Amino acid sequence: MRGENIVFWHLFTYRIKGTVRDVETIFWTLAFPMIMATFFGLVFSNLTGDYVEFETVNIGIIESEAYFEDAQFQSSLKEASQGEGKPLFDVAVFANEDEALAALKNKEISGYVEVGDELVMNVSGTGFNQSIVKTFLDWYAQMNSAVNSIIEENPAAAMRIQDVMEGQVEYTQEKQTDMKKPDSMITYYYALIAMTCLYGAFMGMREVTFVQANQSAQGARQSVAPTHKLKVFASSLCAVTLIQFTSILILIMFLAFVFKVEFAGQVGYILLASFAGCSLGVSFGALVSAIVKKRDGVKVAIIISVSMALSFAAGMMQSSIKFALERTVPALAYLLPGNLIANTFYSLYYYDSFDRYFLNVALMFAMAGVMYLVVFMIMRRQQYASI
Amino acid sequence: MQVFKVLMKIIKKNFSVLSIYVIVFFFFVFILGSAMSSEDPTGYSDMKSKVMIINNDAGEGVSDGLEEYLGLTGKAVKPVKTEEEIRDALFSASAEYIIEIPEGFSDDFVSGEHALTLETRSVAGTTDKIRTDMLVDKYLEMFRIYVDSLEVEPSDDAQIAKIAGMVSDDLSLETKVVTTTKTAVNPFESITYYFKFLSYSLLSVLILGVSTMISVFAERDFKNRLMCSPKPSFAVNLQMLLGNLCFAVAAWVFFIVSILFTFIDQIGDARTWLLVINTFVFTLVALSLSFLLGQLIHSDNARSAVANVVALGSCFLGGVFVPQMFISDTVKRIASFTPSFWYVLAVEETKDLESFGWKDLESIIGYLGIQIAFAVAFLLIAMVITRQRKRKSI
Repeated sequence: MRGENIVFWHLFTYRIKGTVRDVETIFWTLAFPMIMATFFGLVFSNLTGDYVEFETVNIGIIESEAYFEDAQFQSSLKEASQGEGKPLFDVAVFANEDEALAALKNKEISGYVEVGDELVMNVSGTGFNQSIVKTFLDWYAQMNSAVNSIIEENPAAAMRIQDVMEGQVEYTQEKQTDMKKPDSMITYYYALIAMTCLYGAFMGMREVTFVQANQSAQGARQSVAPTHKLKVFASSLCAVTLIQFTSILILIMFLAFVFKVEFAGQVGYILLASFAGCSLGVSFGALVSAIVKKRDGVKVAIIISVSMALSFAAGMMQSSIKFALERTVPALAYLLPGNLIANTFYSLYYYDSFDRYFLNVALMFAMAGVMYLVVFMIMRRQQYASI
Repeated sequence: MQVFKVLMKIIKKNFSVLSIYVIVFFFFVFILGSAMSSEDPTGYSDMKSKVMIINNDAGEGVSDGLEEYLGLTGKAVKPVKTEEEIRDALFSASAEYIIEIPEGFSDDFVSGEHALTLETRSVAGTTDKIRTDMLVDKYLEMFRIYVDSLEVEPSDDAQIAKIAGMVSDDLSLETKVVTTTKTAVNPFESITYYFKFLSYSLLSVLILGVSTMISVFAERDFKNRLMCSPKPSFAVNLQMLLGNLCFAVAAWVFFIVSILFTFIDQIGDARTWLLVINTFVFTLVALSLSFLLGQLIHSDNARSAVANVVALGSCFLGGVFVPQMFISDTVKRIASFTPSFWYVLAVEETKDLESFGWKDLESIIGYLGIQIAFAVAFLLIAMVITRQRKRKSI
């Protein structure tokens, strides 16, 4: 029995050495998610938290008698273009409509306003800036209407309106709980972790190729040895899972310390979730490799495509895709491996209780177990008449 | 044309692999395109957030009025009771904004004390919070101005109900908007999403496909045999490029035909064809970039990692997935070193195009030119690399 153990450890160490010495693969397994994380960090640096920093919107006004007479509108505009920090608007006054139209065409302004009996906004298309202008003008018109109604209702109230308008009341307040805020930015980072876990599939695929006599020279050599197939296979899978696990941990540290991505929960839970994710990824590759009896190129293409599709579903390119999918078919949150891995980290971050976390981890191990079982069923007692 | 012929054979042999890539990335374009065009992030004011209103003050004027208003301006979601259910709703995004109206809010509000506030929860980093907070503030601010100016008593239910009606009427007022463009803008907007995402798929497919094909040439014996031949390396490279071009054009045609087929009513629009030209130029850039990367990477694992870093990375930076206006200036400067950035700029400009004079097209042609410059640069680097390698070892 002791001799058997020595064989296991011997194979295990050599598989680790063999994998680590494949510098190109190791470099990319490690570097790829970090480079991606850096890109995310760069792009989202402007989008973190609750607000997005907007640019000042350039708008035009057409000179007219009505505009000069409308002192209230002028002062509202002035207020909006002077506010503290970045002003909302930068207003340019045009002598006539042609000039404004030319400025609009040259994209110097997002839209221009004609002041007459009512305000008319001229734009060349729809967009964020146009929405801001419209929201402002809507509110101005609505307040005007309200003031008129108040005066109509009680003319004496006219005296008070100005004072009332100056009063400021905070109506809403973010609910303070010990609960973490759900965050859509974090979805991207967790999807990246999911993707990296799934990329363990490449290693799983290679290991299966290495133990099959008709797939590689190494496999043929190992097949003649009197070692139990399961032992050979288990040792090499343990080796690559360990390597993949290490690279995930490096990625998580990188995300946590460099980009300050929040990982709530104790280290132990994060380790367990990462390990489960890696096992899932490696077993997926092993499964593809065992089922698909084609060249490596086809296996790689399948793994790339499936892992990209799963990361896509987990919200890697657009977080709204993940939510839309899970809303339409709630079971997908548990069935799609990418979503499952990302949700495990998310539930650790978001929930106080560990129910959902443990359910997800258990599901990941169960999925990995089932895939390994299938792989083993396919591979056991394989004999080759000719290689 | 021996090299070219070999490449054709490789394409034939790898047809299944190449078509897997094309089809999977083709699905990405369509899913993303249809999801994003139905959920336009720039059509800010017209978007409706899913709002859950937990009204503990039902039957009172202000609270009911607010509930009704938020139901009109957003999509009301059925309220849930327990804390756990509230968390689940936010977790799964079945509610994007949750507002809790405390008991006695209406009376407190009308009395002018404002001791009670509304507690809200939302998903961080979304526009739902900003938008819905603003709607709540708008409604209550107007209500307050009515109530305080008219000095309404909290017990005067009839008057409060009347004011609620007036506030709703006021808030339904909208500014008249005149669109100066002759053509309708909206239907064209969705096709531009497809074209934007197409850059990601094209780049991925070409990097993966081209490097798969080139890796055959990197095999030691094959390479040595090729080097013995009297063909100059320039000619070899040119034939290789030509072979890859066939694949690139085939993929491009497949993508374009499917998009045009989906938007058959847009075919008459000249802007559509401008977008098609833009993607063709981008295909050339992607091809030369793939050719360069193909010379550098040989391992399968590395190939997919590089494809992802380059395709996904440059598309994130370039504004394919996150609109360029949300990206900070510094990042934009970095992004200007990626061809995707200029591709997206050209798509955006094309979208707003009204006429097709030289002055209108000038900037778009400039962006196309920059992309071509990228293509040439990548190609030159690839050629230099192959020459250098040749000298180093046999």
